Amino acid sequence: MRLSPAPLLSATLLCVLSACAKMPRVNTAPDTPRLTEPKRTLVLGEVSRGDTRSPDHGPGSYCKNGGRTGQDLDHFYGFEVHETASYRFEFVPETFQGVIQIQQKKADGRGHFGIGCKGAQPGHTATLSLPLEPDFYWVIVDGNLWDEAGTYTLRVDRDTSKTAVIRPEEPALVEPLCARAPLVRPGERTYGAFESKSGGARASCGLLGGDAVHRISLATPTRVRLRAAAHFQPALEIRSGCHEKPIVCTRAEAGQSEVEVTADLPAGDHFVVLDSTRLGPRDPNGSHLDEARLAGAYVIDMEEEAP
Amino acid sequence: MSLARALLLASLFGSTACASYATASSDDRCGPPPGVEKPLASLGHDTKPFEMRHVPETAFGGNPPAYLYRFEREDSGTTEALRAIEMIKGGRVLVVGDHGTALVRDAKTGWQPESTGTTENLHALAPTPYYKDGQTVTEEQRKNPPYLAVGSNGAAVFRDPTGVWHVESTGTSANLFALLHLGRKTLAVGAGGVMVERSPEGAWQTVKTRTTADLYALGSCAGYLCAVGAGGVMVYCRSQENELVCIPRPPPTQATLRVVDEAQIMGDGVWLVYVRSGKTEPPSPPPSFVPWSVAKDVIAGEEVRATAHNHWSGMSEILAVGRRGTVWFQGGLFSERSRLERAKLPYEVDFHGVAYELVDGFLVGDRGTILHLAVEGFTPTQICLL
Repeated sequence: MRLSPAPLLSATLLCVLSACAKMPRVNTAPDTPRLTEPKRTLVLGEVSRGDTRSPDHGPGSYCKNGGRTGQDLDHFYGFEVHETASYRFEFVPETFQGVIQIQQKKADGRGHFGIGCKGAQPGHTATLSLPLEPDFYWVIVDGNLWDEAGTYTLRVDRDTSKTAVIRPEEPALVEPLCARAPLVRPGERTYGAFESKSGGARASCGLLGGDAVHRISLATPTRVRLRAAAHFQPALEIRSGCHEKPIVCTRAEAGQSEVEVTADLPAGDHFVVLDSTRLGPRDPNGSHLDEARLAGAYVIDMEEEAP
Repeated sequence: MSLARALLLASLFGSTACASYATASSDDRCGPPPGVEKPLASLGHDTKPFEMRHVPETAFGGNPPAYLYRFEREDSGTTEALRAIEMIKGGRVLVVGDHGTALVRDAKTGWQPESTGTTENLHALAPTPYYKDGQTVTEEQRKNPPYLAVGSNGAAVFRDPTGVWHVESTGTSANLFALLHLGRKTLAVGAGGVMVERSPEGAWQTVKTRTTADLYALGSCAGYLCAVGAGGVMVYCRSQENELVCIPRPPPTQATLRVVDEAQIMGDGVWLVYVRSGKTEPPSPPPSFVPWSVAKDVIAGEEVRATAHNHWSGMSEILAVGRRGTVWFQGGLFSERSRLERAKLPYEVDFHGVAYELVDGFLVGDRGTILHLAVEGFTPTQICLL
């Protein structure tokens, strides 16, 4: 015997409607005027606690799975970054399905855009690691679904883990770059395309690490001058071995795209590492994770100088 | 309406866009089918125009008919070399050339000279409209934008919307060969790797290109602004904290490059196409260009001097011009079947500039040559928003 699905569907619908009618609506009234500046402060290394059933009526996240226009069951934090590094946000929505979104001010100052977003089930931890430059960021704690609100904990720490975007060189990643490093020759222009790579070749005065390693081969001790120009703010380092300490490292000044180093080098092979001193530009239309990766062209010109 | 515009509208309004060749049975929702598009009226100067049949590539495949392409000489009233032309559909057609020549086309009286206030050779011309945020653009403003021309010895002349030319100082004495207008700023490049940038207010400043090679063309190269020129030089520029930073790339050829046309670069015996990196996630690496194998035979020994990209749906093809009456049609821009055809026009003249909008084109060149290309019999593609 085949049953018609109609009665079952009706029952289900009734049941759902009935359940919805009994569900507590936390924020059904029109919201109060929104905050335009955060009233909470997120402090590095400290736990922040809150309950979004008493919302700040801030800007809200715009990466959550569901909600409705005007519903801003959020807590609105400001986070001041003083030093460029990777930062790890840990968010535990204890009693609700929550989400955090990190927002950065647009370059033209007209509003903010999302650079990272992570949600978690009640009692679970959402972890989000982002490279951040000095700036004042917005951190928004929100419900991930319609009417979700409750208690939570939130903290932020420097991320020094092996998965952080900004992290030290990894010899295993740099070794192959040294092995196939193209020669830089005096009087010749060297062309290259840089791509940031976490754990890649990182100048000691650089930031991101990448894939730009070149080689200088000298028959006699020589004073060399290297000039680099790039689509980003570069750092340039010379080292005697692939993993040796730097002989010289110079970073371009703020807003500049050129850098120059001069060094007296002994005969033999030396390595030149080109790096970026800044994060890559983020997508101002983004909402989810943007690790500020960078790509761009560069040139290196080398001259030999009389000592 | 161009295909790109139709697709943009469709995406904006969430509608499904469809396009088709208009037939009598078209659905009413598409509105009345468009009629045959008529080219600009002949000036009647040429008793023996050159005619050929040609099939422009269509955006949507199908089997479009071959249209009649008529090339007709028009009296320019000058023997100066004419170097650049700009045409706005339904609006002005403007030409510049050697010794400060500027000509504007009048549908009744033909080509009329204008006084530019300079005797320098003018190599490049561009409309330079600039609208502030929120400004409403009238049809009159669209048809009559300001123009900028640059040329020898760093010359620059600005034509305001009332038609008066003003001489400007670019701060360089180098010959300037190409212009690119970017909405707010306008860039010019030229001899010795010079690049200068003009603000909407007419202030000029130098941009470092890090090359001393002559730069002949400017354009967009897959997310970068690029300048190309002698010895295959390629310079990619991108904005960094509101400053343009230009970095040379390894030359993909030793040949002189003269034209940048969207994802293609053309020059002396070369026609380069953009190669996708295969990388799907940002950031994209600087783009690469390689010789286009399809072009090898039809470009050998030739020089591509200028191109014009007809973006109208159903007429989406590139018209390229070169020396000794040579022209090329590139179709199939929306498909993998991109093709290139060379035609030899019966005019032993070197062309320097070209414009091409829907069913009208203009080719300009040495000895005051102006050819009007009129495409007969074309019916625009009908766009339906369902």
